[in-house]
Amino acid sequence: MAALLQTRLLLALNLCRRDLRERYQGSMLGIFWLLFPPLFMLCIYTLVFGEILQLRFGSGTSTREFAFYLFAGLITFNAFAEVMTRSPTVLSEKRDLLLNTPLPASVLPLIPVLNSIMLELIAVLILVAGLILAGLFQPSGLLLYLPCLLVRALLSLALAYPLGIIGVFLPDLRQIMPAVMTVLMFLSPILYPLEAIPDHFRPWYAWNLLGQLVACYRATLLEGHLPWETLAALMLVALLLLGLGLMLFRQLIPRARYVL
Amino acid sequence: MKLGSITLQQAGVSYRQYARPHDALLEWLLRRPRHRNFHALKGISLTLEPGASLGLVGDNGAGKSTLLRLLAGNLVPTEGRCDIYGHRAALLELGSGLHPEYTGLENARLGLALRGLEPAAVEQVLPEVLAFAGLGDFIHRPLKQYSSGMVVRLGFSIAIQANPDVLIVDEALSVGDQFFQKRSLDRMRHILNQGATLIFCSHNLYQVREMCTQAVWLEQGQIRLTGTAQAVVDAYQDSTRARTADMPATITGSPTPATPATPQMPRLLAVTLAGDQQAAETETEVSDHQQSGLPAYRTHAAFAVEVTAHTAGMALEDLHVGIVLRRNDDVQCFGISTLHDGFRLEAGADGNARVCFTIERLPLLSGHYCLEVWLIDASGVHVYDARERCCPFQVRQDSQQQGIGLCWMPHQWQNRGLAT
Repeated sequence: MAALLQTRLLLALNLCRRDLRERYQGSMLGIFWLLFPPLFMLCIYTLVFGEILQLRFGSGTSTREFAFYLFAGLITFNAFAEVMTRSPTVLSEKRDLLLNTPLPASVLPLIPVLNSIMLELIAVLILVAGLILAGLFQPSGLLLYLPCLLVRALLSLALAYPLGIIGVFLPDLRQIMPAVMTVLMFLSPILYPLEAIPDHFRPWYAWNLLGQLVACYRATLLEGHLPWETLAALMLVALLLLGLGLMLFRQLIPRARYVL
Repeated sequence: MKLGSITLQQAGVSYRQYARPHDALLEWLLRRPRHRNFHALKGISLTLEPGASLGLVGDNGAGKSTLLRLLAGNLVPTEGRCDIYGHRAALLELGSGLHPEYTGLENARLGLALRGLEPAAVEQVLPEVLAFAGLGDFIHRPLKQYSSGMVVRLGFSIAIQANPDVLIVDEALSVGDQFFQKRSLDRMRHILNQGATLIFCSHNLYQVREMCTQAVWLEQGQIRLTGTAQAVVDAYQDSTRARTADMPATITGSPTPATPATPQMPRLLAVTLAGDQQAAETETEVSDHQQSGLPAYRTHAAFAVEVTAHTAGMALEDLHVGIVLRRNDDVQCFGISTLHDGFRLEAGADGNARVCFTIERLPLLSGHYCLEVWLIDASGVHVYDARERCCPFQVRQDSQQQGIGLCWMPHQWQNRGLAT
């Protein structure tokens, strides 16, 4: 069982590496394009929300600190969004492998998740470099961040399975997902602090898994403490969703073969 | 069960066809059927022992590819059982399982990993794969830049690695060049000799006959005939010819609407050997034993071939017969056509042209030969019909008739430099 899991993970890693290379093959700046859009958006948001609207997170007072909070939030969001927008197409993209080789279908949704982990780690490195330069770096934060990464990956995998399989039957999903992610971004406390929300909206925000996850990322990376209760709850939800998602995936994959 | 054995019991595959993809989802949610069933295969029963070689013949859409995919494990039977023991390797349709954006090398690595090889094992067999594919520097270029022949070479090289117990080869192989085809057939035979089971599908019936001992003829998803490769291929060939002959001129009367009706074209009806034949001598060599019973000619005996062709109303000046005499090692001994000889065919009252080709003194020396007969048009390019490797016959030299080689050449010996 463990050996099987290991070979499948290796296979997924293999596919993921090729996938990344394929996406940026031939472009002059290669991997740079992975980082450019998020960093560009970071600058814009910092300018608009931090400098012009003067929004502040936590105890921070300067625009520079706002930028770090914003970045930590965007890292979570971008990694999550990568999986959400990519998984509906992953099965049809790898249709040929799925139908003509003994490739186990359940490996495929791992590709966007592994991709997102790669992107996230690069972005976190940049954040840490920035924090060190600003003298705000907390070494323990980096260690505490790892469980957050695990929960984030599991949560996105839990959604990648249903999205991946439903994307086969509803090709429209790939058009819908970016819009859904934009809505989710503005409904989560990423660009603005939770404190800016009027009180009667607060209970709704508690249900926002992404918002909770962002809070964990910020607490670990920027403040150096782990909100383990939130994280444990998220982990439970993630595992539950993963079980349900896998069940749906298993249930529908024979049908998907007819349609692909 | 022994490795390499294959058992199919009443196996069948039916595809569900949905009008739109989301119908498949709605069907699952509402539990109400929204599909049409398409039976690609039904009631297939087969037993193959390790070391067996099975050829698959049949028309397009008869279910050959589905059966191969079933055997390759890419499809699960929707009814019956399909049990295969051992490691299988499959070369299915052209380029399947290969990724157009990846380079040949990456495809090879991925392909081997997909076949369950550990990373260390992959690196170990990789040089062998690359050597067999023989793609040179192209191995570092993306697959989309390859010619179809190169894709097949790569696909085959990947498929045959890791010593399969069952080797499944689709007709994709015929895309490769002659040199690679020979090498790959040799390799298949080698794997077969090592005790693996071979399933081979090809439109080249000659190859099926050569590679396989058994064969299955599929028709509309069912087994029409099983038996020795020779018998099945012959039966299939006969039926194809008969079908072409029976094909009515109008499409409306076509017996099987599934197969597109081919318009009436000139075709060969019969090719028979004539001339001064002798009963075959009893052969002493073991290797020749299957060849006994062939019509035999003596060198310098009269040799004749009678060809009957249906003209199908084609203008007779646009219809020509070509004959090639070929030795069993594929040497073309002689070939000529009525086109090149400027001979005009004449049709009888039944619309058939019967022409006799005679060689008064057959110059061929001992050996086994066969005929190729072509029915071509006045340009010599379009082939209406052809029979390849038909009418095998042998030629024997009389004991007093010395000489070696292909044919008898008229010659003289003279002494020179003698004082007279």
